[in-house]
This record gives sequence, structure tokens and C-alpha cells, in this order.
Amino acid sequence: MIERLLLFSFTSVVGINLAAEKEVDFNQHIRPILSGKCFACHGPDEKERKAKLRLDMRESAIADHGGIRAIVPGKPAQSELISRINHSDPEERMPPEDSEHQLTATERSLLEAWIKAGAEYQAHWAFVSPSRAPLPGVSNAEWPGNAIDHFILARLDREGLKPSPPASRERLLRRLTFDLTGLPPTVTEMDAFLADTSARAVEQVFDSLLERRAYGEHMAVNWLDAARYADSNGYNNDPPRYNWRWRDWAIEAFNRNLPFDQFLTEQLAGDLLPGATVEQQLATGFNRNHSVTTEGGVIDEEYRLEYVADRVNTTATVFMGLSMRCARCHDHKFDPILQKEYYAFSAFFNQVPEKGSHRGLVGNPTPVIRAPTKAQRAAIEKQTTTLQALASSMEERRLLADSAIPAWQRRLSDDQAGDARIPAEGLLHHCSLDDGDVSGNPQWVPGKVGNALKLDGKTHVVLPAELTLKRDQTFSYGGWVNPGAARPMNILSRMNSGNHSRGFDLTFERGPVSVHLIHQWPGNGLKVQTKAAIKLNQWTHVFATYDGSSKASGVAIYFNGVKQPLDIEKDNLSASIVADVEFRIGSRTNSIPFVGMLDDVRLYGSVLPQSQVALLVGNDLRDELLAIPTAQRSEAQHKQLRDIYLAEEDADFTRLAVLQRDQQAALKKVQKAVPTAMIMKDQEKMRSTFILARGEYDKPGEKVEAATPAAFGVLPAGAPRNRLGLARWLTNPRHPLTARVAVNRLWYQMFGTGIVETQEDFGSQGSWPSHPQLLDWLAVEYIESGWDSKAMIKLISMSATYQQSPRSTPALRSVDPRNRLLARGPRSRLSAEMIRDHALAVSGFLTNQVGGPSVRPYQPAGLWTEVSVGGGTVHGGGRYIQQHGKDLYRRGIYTWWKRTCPPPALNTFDAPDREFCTVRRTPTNTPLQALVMLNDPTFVEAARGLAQRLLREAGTTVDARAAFAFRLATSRSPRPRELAILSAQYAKQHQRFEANKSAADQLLAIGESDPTAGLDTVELAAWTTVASIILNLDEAISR
Amino acid sequence: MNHSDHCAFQINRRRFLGSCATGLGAAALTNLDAATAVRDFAPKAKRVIYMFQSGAPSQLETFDYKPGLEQLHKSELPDSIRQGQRVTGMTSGQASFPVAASKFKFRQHGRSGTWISDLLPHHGKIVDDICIVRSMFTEAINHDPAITLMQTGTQQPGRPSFGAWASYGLGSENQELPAFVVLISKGSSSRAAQGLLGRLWGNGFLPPKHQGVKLRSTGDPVLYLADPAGVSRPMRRDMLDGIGSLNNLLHDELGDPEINARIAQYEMAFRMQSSVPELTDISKEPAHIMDMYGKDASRPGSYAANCLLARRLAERGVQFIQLYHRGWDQHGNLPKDISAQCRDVDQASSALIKDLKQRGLLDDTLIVWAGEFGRSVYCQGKLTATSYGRDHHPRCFSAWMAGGGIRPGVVHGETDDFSYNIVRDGVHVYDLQATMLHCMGIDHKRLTFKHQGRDYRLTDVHGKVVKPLLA
Repeated sequence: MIERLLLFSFTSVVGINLAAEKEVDFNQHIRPILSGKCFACHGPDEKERKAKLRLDMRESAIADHGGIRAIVPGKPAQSELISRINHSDPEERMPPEDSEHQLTATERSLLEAWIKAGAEYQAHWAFVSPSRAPLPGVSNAEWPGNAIDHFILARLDREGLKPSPPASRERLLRRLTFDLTGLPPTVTEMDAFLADTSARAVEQVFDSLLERRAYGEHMAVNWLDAARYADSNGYNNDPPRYNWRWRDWAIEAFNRNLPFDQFLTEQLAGDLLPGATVEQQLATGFNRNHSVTTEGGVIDEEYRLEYVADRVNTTATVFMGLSMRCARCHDHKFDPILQKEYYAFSAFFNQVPEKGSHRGLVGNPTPVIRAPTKAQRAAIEKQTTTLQALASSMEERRLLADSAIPAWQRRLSDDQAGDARIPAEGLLHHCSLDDGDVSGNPQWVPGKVGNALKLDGKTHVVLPAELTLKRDQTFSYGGWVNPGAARPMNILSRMNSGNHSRGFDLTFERGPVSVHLIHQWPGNGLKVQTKAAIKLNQWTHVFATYDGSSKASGVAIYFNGVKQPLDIEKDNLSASIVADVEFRIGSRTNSIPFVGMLDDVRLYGSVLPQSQVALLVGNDLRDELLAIPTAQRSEAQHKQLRDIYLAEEDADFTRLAVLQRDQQAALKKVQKAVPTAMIMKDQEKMRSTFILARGEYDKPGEKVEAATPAAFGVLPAGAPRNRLGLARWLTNPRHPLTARVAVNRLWYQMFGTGIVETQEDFGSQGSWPSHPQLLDWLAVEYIESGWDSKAMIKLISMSATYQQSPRSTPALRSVDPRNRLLARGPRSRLSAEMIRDHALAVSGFLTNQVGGPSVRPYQPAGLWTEVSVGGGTVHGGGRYIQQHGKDLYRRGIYTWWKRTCPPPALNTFDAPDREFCTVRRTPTNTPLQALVMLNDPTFVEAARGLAQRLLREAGTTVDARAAFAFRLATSRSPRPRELAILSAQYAKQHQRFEANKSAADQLLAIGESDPTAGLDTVELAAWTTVASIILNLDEAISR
Repeated sequence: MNHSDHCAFQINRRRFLGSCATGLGAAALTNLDAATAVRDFAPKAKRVIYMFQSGAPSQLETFDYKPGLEQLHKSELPDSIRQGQRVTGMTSGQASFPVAASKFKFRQHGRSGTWISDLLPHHGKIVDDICIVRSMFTEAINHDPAITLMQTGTQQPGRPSFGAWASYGLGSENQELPAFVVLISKGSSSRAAQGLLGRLWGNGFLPPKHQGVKLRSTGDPVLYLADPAGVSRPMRRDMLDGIGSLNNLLHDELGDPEINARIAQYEMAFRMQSSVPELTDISKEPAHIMDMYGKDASRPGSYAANCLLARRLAERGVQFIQLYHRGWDQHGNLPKDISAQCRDVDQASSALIKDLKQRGLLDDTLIVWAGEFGRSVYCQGKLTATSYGRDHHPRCFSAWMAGGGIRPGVVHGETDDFSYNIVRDGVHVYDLQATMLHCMGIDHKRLTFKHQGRDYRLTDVHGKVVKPLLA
């Protein structure tokens, strides 16, 4: 969309040089001045607007305000704006004297020149859909390797600069390998590449690198920053969280080259896709990765709204390159986002069934899903198949039973009393409530079976503590109930109301009866309730059964032996219901005590079939059924009778049933180990969203509906008004920002700086793109390729621009110190993770394992405890427990990330704390980094590993050994002078260790791997120091 | 961000040039064109020692004397005082809000006759050197947001810390020590101390070099400072020479100034390996100085030891010295725990003032002693004859300041008879921050950094310099 040729020299990007420019460009020159210095009072924010003048829209700026016109196009002398900015009286001059944003002389002349030229406005470049410009002509048609190079060279031509020659093949291989995998090339790879002089050598290497799983790990690092992924819940208590399955998803998504539009859609709204898979729901963890507070006493809604705001901020920054944060409190001062639009946008993210306060929580805050790994999924499938086979064998027995029932009926000449056959098997506990020790004021009165217990609301029975019911067990419980008051009353329960109501119960709900099985209310639990009610002051036998499925459908409730239709009120149980409180009859821990009478309460460890429940009531179902002539039995009655027959008569069936139970238990064991993952979800009853005055949670104003900011277009026709609709809107090819921001991110990852340097801000205050037409060309290319990220990376890598030598000259540096014009190849320090991974890779220690839980490698003692609540004694996981073995040597992306105390070495190399979304790291160069590289045990041990390798793999001469290590760490062979320095170092250090062998032993003992691996200690120690020198070279930590 | 290049194109920024050469704590390199001038006027304070009392000390047992409460002890807090104020989820369920008078006596000290609790006898001796603010207030009612507001200017994570702003704005005076140093001590209270958060000394969106560097009492004083076992100093010197020569060769080939910067950083790291141990070695402090700070001063990691280190850091030109003393969160068992906490800090805080004064450093060092909010006059939990607790209270709390730019011997602000509401001269957290920056010679409205299109500052859009606090 940027038609105007940029006639400026490079310096104009950072400092305007008016003499060099005849034509003033609104977007490039004028908008930054108006936006930075005038819009605060004369911009989109209506409340702050002074003199009713807005300068962000031309019609208002040129309008007649009572005889005064701020801008008279073509006539600066008649324009009030010009007279006010030049006014001699400080009272009259604009901006006002006390403003922090005064105009420079250059800026004043630019404004004047612009008005003189007609004061044309343009829409902000990034807010207009990108379109492809034709490839510009270039001075040297031979140079461009692809379209990128046309744009780069055309710009260099204008500046009178020439591109650099290609980088050496060694350097190119290093750059490619690091940029695509985050790791260095191996010796074999270097040898193979240098030997392959064919024209397709580079492309072949490229293609093979893209297929490595290390690619996904490398690409995900940046994404974890953007998504503020961490292994702790953040805020004051910062307890552990285990959401690493989302990280697995991200790595995998990069590796399978999930098209970016789907990548975005699944992360924003995977749960809303039709037939959403576990993987698609897992993706939505993106917007749950924010911190949650577990601090006592916080106000719930205040924090819940912080999480919503965090999602808005992250989504806008990551996908649109926009800060919407300003509009949380007032209309945005620079970009076209009204406060109302901010809240309309926030409504998309305001529907999660969650609370703000997670007091006392350790682990993943709900909502979560169970997200099995591949191995777990395979095991589950196997068990399921076995169970299916068992089920069909049992079905065969059922068919046989049908033909055996008539004979059986004939055999049963004598009937037995119902009581005698009340099931004894599986009875965990029987509380006859005839008498006994009961806390409170028990009264024993005649009941249904012997005495009954009369409760006055201050009485309850405590059952043995070892009666623990788990959600993956089958169980049944209930008894005779005679409610004496029309209010919620607990019949029996083991439930901890102080811990999100964890536990189970059976409760009289003013008539209907409910069962709760809860891990954490309301996010993780189930509740069913009978549609029918039982009568007050009357005996009813109330009994519930549960099949261990964690599903509401697995619960049945019987009134007097008759199965009741149920309402399912909650059905999202996925974690333990074991509560560390008393198991009581007649009261919950501290609430809803029972008033009335209870009798003959029983607890079974199995699902009692209806026939047996009926026995408890005193109805012998078998005899009832048998009394019905065969032809008159209903289908249901027939089935009931068959079940009774199988249970009583068919030993084979019983054996199969036992096998089935064992297999189910085995399956549950696997399922129990399945990790959970935090997901986005919209609650059924949508929350209303309000404009909040000054962003404060307790100042709701006008109600708003979910919508996108008008300046960027409305939701596509037919799109649902939810996150899925939002994703469709963002991935619409006409969206001005999504593709631009995404390709700019890829460019940033390859070149170290984006075409738009402010990756986080494409708004009117953001930086001007170094190559606007190139950015747009790439954005359109990306969309048209089907959002193919690997193809885009290939395009960039295959450009002559990317493959240039990084060498610079003083002349070039003075024109373009930061290499924004790319007259030379990119060169930058490795990222924090790459520095770690590099050292581990060249030392041979690196553990090749993709995905899985986070690990805790070496870390100085006490770092967590000195800041953790109570010194790490409370809120679980406050102490850093270092791991051992191969977990010490995983890639940096797997290091445990505690937000309030991020991994120190990574943090020293500019990794963020992940408390909020970060899309650009600022590389710095500090002495603390030198201390890490020289003294952190990780790097000392890596130096020893490299020394061990060179002694084993690199021949016997000092030069060969030094060259081997140097080449591993820098990807090129050393020159003679370099080799001489290393050899001299070796000789000197060898002498020192020879004289002090215990020093050698001490150095080699650092780290947990085998210290000497059978090598000579003096030699190994001397080489360890040389290896340390090599790992510390600027070249070893650069690409 | 290419370090040296920035220096090149920011030639008009004289102040930054010097620090560019050194790197550590080098000021403001990104977005410099948007960052505004620093040191708008001559600073009174060249450095800051911020003694943060984490967990929030009760003003009622320390600096805010309310003799009238004895008569009202156990009576219900009047609604006219509480005015529907929101309370935390920890006491919002409480059926009554009985007034708990301080168990501790107060007496007058100094020429000013300022009332100070008997828990702080040594403060009595410096009362004429310090300025007590009894009218601090905040909006936050929980630790995380409150301490984040105090230290970063907003309740939510994401902004740079005070020290990072100072490092960004002022750079470092010392080439061998960081500009911003953090010291943490554990309180003697029996209750689990609240967490500290990396963000409190974090760089936020400022370049990471402005992050505070922790000076630790166990292990290496600065992370990874010590050479590995078996590597001697001469050996390390040789290694650095090797690294330097090889890096020089690379620089000759590529001409990347970043390589030169790295050589300089390695040299500075080497110097830090001597300067930091020299700094933390207090064995040569004379006995009378050790006595002044109290017997805790010889226990590494104690508040007293940290106060002594703070003086040594100040002497060496470190600009922002941030102490945290943990354990002030007295929800219950207050009398016993606050006595222990006060014993931790009383003598050493006082000694630091006296020590700086006798060395002539007090005049250009700004000292601030504060927590994140106050405590409630009403009792949390059971009010017994011997014990009580106090919940969080945002509407008023006490702090004190001293040294560079601060008017000594005054008490500023006043609360009502219940130490519940401020009746005169409230000082918001932002005002404290603005005033501190003012003492450092910085206009809080002009120390800005452009991020996501907006010029951010420590005080956000708030804050006013509290003139009566100034000398």
C-alpha cells in the first residue's frame, strides 16, 4: 500500500534530514509528530480533547471552528496550527509550555511544508490491508536470489551502497543451523556441506534442517515468551503449575508446520472448533498461561478481570502488534481503539468458568482437560481393546443366560426371605443407627429397621477415617431418610468446604436429592440431582451408586429402589475427590446439618444393581420378576432378571466380571497418570461485560457485546460472536495486521531485528518499517502460500540478503550502524537458550529428548528460598530440588521457569521472567554474562566435556585437538594465529596443573558426569581451561 | 541492541557517553531518542538506600501514636470511621471489628519531641535526623499488588522497578560494581514471610542490564562470581588474555564493535571478582562500628549486616541500594512477632544514619524506610489479654526518610484517632516516588521510556513532589 518512494537516506529513519527530501510523507513524517505531540489533547480520546479540535482526522483539522481553521490546506500562513506552534507568547504557543513533548525546529518546518503541499492525510500504513507492489528495478540483476533481494537492493541502490559478498560456507552453515534449530552444526555436517559443491547444496541442507525436531524446539522458545508460558502460577505465592503439555503442543505445531492461520485459530479458539480434538483444546492453553493469584484475601473479581485483561493484551500484542492496554482506562490516545471497543474485545475472553482467587492452590487452575501423551494414549487404546473383548464375551454369556432362565425358574422351588440375601459382598460399612456413640444430642427412636437416629441439626455420626472413596473406584451409598425441614440438609458426606469443597456427598436439596463428587468447585467436579422430590416427615429409601467413570452419567440415584431421572448440573470432574476431613452422616464439615431421622446407612465398594438396591428396600426384585409370566415381562424387567441370574448362577460370567474389573483398574491407573492441561472454555451462561470506569473492577458502566475494534473491520459475515469468530476475523486475508506481524516475527528471528523494529507495536507510535514494500510483499506471499511458515523461512534463508557476509567496514557502519539496510549479513549474539544448548551440544552432554515435563538443572543453592513465601515451606514447591542424570542436560526450553525467580543463567542472557507477554528480547552485553560463561557449573562441566571429546576424537597433537574444539564451537577451522594462541594456553595451563595436581582434580570434579572418563587428569584439566576459553569466545556465542 | 552503535548516534547525550564505554549499568540505550533528559536539576542525593520492610509493619506499634485507643480497646470500630472501606477476604467474614490498642508504650524523643514506640528505642536517637511521614496511603490491599505498586509504580506486573529506572536514568558511578544492588534479609517473626518477587528489582521493558543485582549472603555474593575450584587467579588472567586476543582477531576480521564491548565486559567481570569480595569483607570494620550496628551485623544475611553493606556500597558509589527485610505480616500473634521484627531493624537502621552522617555521606544519600501498606486498628482473629493481630490496611501507614534533600526532624501528615483515615497531608505512593526522584535530581514526569507506543514513567500519570518533606 505504500506507493510513495522513500527518498530519504537511512539516517532519515532515525533523524529527519529535511534538505534531502522534497516531498513530505504524512505517515512517515507528519503522523509521528502529531501522534507524539498533539494527539494527547487533540486526538481520538474525546474526554481529553481540548478546544474541540482533533488533528487525527482531516475533516476536523481543516474545519472552521468559529472563524478559526487549524489547518488551511496549501496555506500555512492562514493555518492557526502554524501560528500557534510558532507563537512568541509562551502562553499561546503549542504544545503548552508544561508539556513534556515540545516540537523541534525541524518538526515545525515539516508541518509547514506538509500544509503547504496540501495537508493530505493517509490512513496509518499498518491499518490498511497489505498488497503486493511490483518488484522494484535494481542496479544489478545478477545479485537477487529471490524477490526479497529486489527490495533490499533497490533500497541500497538509492543509498549508493552495495551488498556484501556471500558469507563463507562455514559461516552460512552455522547461521542456518542456529536459525533453524537453535543448535550448532556437527563436524559430520560441516564436512558433508563443505564437500558438497553442487548448486543445490544449501537448499538440501536447509530442507534437512527443517525436518529436525529441534526446529520446533527452537521456534517454540520465542513463542513461549510471547505466550508468557511458565511452570509456576505467579504472583506472591508463585506455586508450581504443570502446563507443559501446552509446550509440547507448541513444539509439535511448529514441527508439523501447522499453517499459521490454523496455529492462531487453535490457540485462540481450538475448543470452539466443531468436534474439537484434545490437541485442539490443548492449544488454547495459550490464553491460560497468564499468572493467577493464590494469595489469601484477594478480591475475586478484581483478579478475574486481570486475567481477562492479560488475554486481551497478549492477543493484541502477539497477533496484531498492537497495545490495547491504554484503552482499558480511556480511549486510546494514538490508535483508533475506543475504551468501549476495548471492553467489547475483552468480552471474547470474559467467558471462562474461572475464579480470580485460587487461594491455596498448587498445580493447574481450572478449567483443565486431561491431555495424555502419545505413549499414554497408546496404553489406553490397548486396555480399551482388551475391555471390548471382555465385554463381548460377557455379552455371549448374557445370550446363553436368556435360554437358561426358564430352567432356573423351575429349579427355584423355595423362595428365600429378601433380608437373607441383602448383599454382603462389597459392603464397606454398615451403620444400622440403632444405638451407639454419636456426637451431639442423639435421640434413638423406632425406625425403619430397628431404631433410627433422630438428628436436631447439632448431631452427626463420624465414620471410620479409613473409609476413603476415590473417583476412580466404584461405590454405592445411602439409607433410609426422613427429612424434618425444608432446607438443604446433608445426609452423608466427606467434603472439605475449606478446600474448594473437595469430596463427595448425598444431600437433601429441599426435596430433590443430589450427589456431588468434587475436586475443586466449580471448575472441577460433578453434580447430579433427582428431578423428583422426596416427602418431608416421611421415610424414603435413598441410595446412590457410582461406576468410577468420573462422569455424571456414571451416577444413579434410587428412591425406594426405583431409579430416578436426573438433572446433570456439572460434569467436569478430572481430579481427586479425596478430602482430608471427617466422613460424616448428618452433616457436611461445617454446614447444612440434617434435621429429621436417618436409618440403616450402608456403603458398598461396588455399583449395586437395581435388584440389590431393591433388596435393601425390602422388595425382593427377583421374586417379583419371577412372578411375572415370561411373556408379560417388559424388556427392562427381562434384563433385570437376567442380571440377577448371571450374578447368582453363572460362574463364568462372574469370572469375566472380575477380569473386567481388574482391567478397568489397570486402565484407570494409566489414566490417573495422564497430565492435565489448562484450556480455554466459554461458560454456558455467558457473563455480561461492562465498560469499567478507569479500568476498575468495581466501577462497571455501560454493558457491551463482544466485537472487534471498528477501525480494523467487523467480524466476517456468519462468524460466531465468540473467540472462533475472532480467530476468523484475524485470519481473514484482508486483515491489515495479522500477516504483517507474523512475517515480521519470522524476519526478526532470522535477522535479529524486524522490518518493523517494534515487533510489539505496529500502531501509529511504532517504528517505521525499514522496507515497507518488502514487508507487504512478504505478508501477501505468506497468506497466498496458505500461511506456510516453513516456506516463508525458506524464502528468507534462500535470499542473497540473508546469505551475505557479516563483515562491516567503518564507512558502512557510519552510514548504517545497526544494519537496518542489510548491506551486510546478519550477525547477533546467541539467545540465552541457544548459549546453553550450544555448550551442551559441543560437549556431547545434550539429552536428545523432545517434549515432556520441565526439568531442574544446576542452580545456585537458596535462590528460591530467599524469596519464596515462608522460605519455601508453604505453597508447595518453594524449594528448588535439583534433578540428576540426563535431566541436567536438557535444552534450555525445558528448564523449570518460576516467574518470581526465573532461571538465573538464562535471565542473565536477557530471557524475560514470563510474568507477561514479551515479543522481543533486548540483547545486552554485561559482565554478569561473562561470569556465567566462565563459572556456572553448567559451562565448566561443558568445557570438561568438550575437553574429553577432543582427547578422544581428535588425534594426538595439541594443534589437532585445539582445532577440533575450536571448530566444534565456532563452526570453522582456526587460523594459524588462533591456533598458536590456543596451543600456548594449553602449554601454560598444563604446566600449572602439573605443578598442582589437586587443582586439576578439583576442576574436573565440577558437575555430576564422570569427571575423568579414564583420561589423564592434568591433561584433561589443561584442556578444560582451553575449552572454556573457546566456549567464551564472541564467535562461539554468536551466529 | 547494538551497544556501541547507540553510543555513536546518541552523540548529543553527553551523560550517556561515559557509561557506554563501560556497559555495566550503562544508561538507557534503547529508544533513547524517546527517553528524556535526566538530572533535571542538581541532585541533593547521589544515591539511594531503600530499606523496604516487606509484609507491611504496623504503624500503630511503631510511629503513629494513638493514646486515645486505650479507652476504646475492645470496642467496635465505628462505622463513621470505617466508611464502608473494603477489607481483605481474610477479615471480611469477621462478625465484629474490635479496636485493638497498641500493647506498647510510646515516648517522646529528640528536640522535636516526636512520639516513638518503645519497640524502637534506637530510632529515638535519630529522630532529629529523619522525617517521619505518618500519612502514607495506597489503594492496594494485598501484598503482591501493594509491593508491586511501591516498587514499580503499578499494581500489576510488567513495569520496571524503581532501581531499574534509577540505573537507566543515571547510569553507574562505579565501573566495577552494578548501579543497582539488592540485599535481602529474613525477619525473626514466627509467621511465614510473604514472597518477594523478581519483578521488584526487575527491568520490566527497560533493557535487562538495568535489573537489580542481588548481593547474597550465602554462596557467591554475586551469582557465579567465584572462579571454579582449581582455577587460580593467574590461570584466570591467562584465560582472559587468551579470550581477549582471539576476540581481537575476530574484531579485526569482522569490524563488529560488539566484539570490543564484549572484551571490555570480560575485563570488568575480572575486576568485579576482586571488588565484590573486597566490598563484602567486613573483617576490617573497627569494633566500634560493629558495635554500633549491633551483634547481628557479624551474621551474614541479617538486616544489620545488610545495613553495614549498604553503607559500604554507598561509599563505593553504587546508586541504588535496595534492602528488603521480610516478615512484617502480623495477622496474628502481633505483639510477640513485631517485637522481634523491631529488634531486627531498630539498632541497625539507626546506626546506618549515624554512620553515614559521621562520614559526611548522609547529605547526599537518600534513605527511605517503608513497607507496602499499614495495618488495621481493628483486631484480626481473637483479641485476648496478651495477643492480637492486624489485617492489611491501605488507608494510612507510616514511613520515614532521611538524608539527601530531606528535611530532618519533622513529622509529616496526620491520621484520625483510630489511625484509620488520613486527616491531613496524605502522601500517596506515587508522591513518595516523585519526591524520591526529585531528591535524586530527576523530574519524575521527564524520566520516560517509550514502550508499545507510549512514554512510560515510574509514576505513571500520577505523583506530585511533596515539598514540605524537602530540606
